Amino acid sequence: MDDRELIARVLAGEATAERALYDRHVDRVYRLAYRLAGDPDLARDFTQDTFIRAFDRLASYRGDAAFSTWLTAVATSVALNGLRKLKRFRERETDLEHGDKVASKRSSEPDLKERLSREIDRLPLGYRTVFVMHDVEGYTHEEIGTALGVETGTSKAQLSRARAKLREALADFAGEWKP
Amino acid sequence: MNDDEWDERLSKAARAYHQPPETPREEIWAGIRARRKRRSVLRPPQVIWWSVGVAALLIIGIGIGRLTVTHQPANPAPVVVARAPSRQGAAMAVAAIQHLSRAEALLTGFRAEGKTAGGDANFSASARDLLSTTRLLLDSPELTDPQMRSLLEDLELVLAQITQLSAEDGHEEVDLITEGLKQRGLLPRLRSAIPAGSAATSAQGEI
Repeated sequence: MDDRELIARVLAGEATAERALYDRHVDRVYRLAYRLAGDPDLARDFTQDTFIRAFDRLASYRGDAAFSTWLTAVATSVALNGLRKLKRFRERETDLEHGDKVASKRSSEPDLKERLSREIDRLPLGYRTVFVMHDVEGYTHEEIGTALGVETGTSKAQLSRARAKLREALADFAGEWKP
Repeated sequence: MNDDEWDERLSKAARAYHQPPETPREEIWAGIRARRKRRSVLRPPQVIWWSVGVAALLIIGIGIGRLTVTHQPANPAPVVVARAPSRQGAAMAVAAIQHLSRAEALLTGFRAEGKTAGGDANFSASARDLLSTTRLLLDSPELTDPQMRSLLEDLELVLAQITQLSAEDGHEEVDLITEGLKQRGLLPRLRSAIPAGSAATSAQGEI
C-alpha cells in the first residue's frame, strides 16, 4: 500500500492506517530531529510535534511532492522553531555563548570528532541545518530546498559557506587528515 | 590538501555528529496519542472559538458602521451588521481580508528592512499578534477553501519564524525567511487574495 492510499485511509478515520503511516516515516523524522537537536528528549518531542501537526494538516497535503518530502518540511519547521526557542531560553538562563567562546580558545583539543561536533554546533542554525541534512543525512539540495522553502541554489550556497567555516575553524587539524 | 579533499573528509567525519540511537517508536507513539487525547479534552469546542471570533467581528462591524453612517443617525450601524445575509461567512471574510492586509503590510516592511529586520522588536511583536489570528482563522470551521488554508499555513510558518528572530540571529536567518517568502510566493498570493481597493467591509475571499 503506498502513501497516498494510506493517507486516504487516515482521512477516512482508520486508526490503523495512521499508525502504519507513522511506522513508515518515523525513523527518518527521528533521525533528522536527533541530528539537529543532539538530545534524545528534544528529538522525541520534535518527532511527536511533527506527527501531531502532520496528522492535523493531512487534509491540506496536496500531493505535489512526495509525502516524505512534505513531512520533512514539517519536521524541519518544528525542529528549527523548537531550537530557536531553546536558544533564547538558554541565553536568558546562562551566558552559554560566552562559555563556548572560552572553551574554544583552549589550545589542546585532543579529539578531532569532538572538536568537529563543537564547531558544527557553533555554526549559525541555517548553515548547520543544511550541512546536517546534506553532508550528514544525505538529503539532496532539492529536498532541502523544498523542506526549508528556499531555492536549490541557496541550499548549495549555505552548504558551501558552512563547509568553509568548518575548514577555517579546523585548519589546525589539516595535518591529521592527510592521507 | 585541496578544498574538495577537505570537504570529503569533513563530510565523512561529520557522520558521527549527533549519531541517533534507535528510534523509540512505541514511546513516541504513546506520547502522540496522549497529547492528542489531552488536547481533545482541553480544547474548547470550536463553537466557543467561533463565538469569540464573531463577537470580535461584530465589534469591528459596529465600529466600521459608525464611521460610515455617522451622517445617517437614524440608521444605527449594529442593525446593518445583524441584518446581513449569511453574516457568519461575511464576518469571516471581513476578518480574513483585514488580517491578510495587515500581514501583507508587515511582510512587505520586513522584506524592505532586509538584514536589519532581525533585531527589530516591532516586527516580532506584530508577527506574534498576527500569528495568533492566523491560527484562529486556521481553526475556524468556516475555512473550507483549500487555497486559503494553504495561504494561511504558509503565512503561519513565516510569522512563526519572524516571531523567533532575535537581534543576535545572523543575517542568514533573515535571508532564509525572505528566501522562503520568495519561494512560496507569499506576498503575491496575499495580494491576490486581498480584493483590489479592498475595504475591510468587502466580503470577498471565499473563506
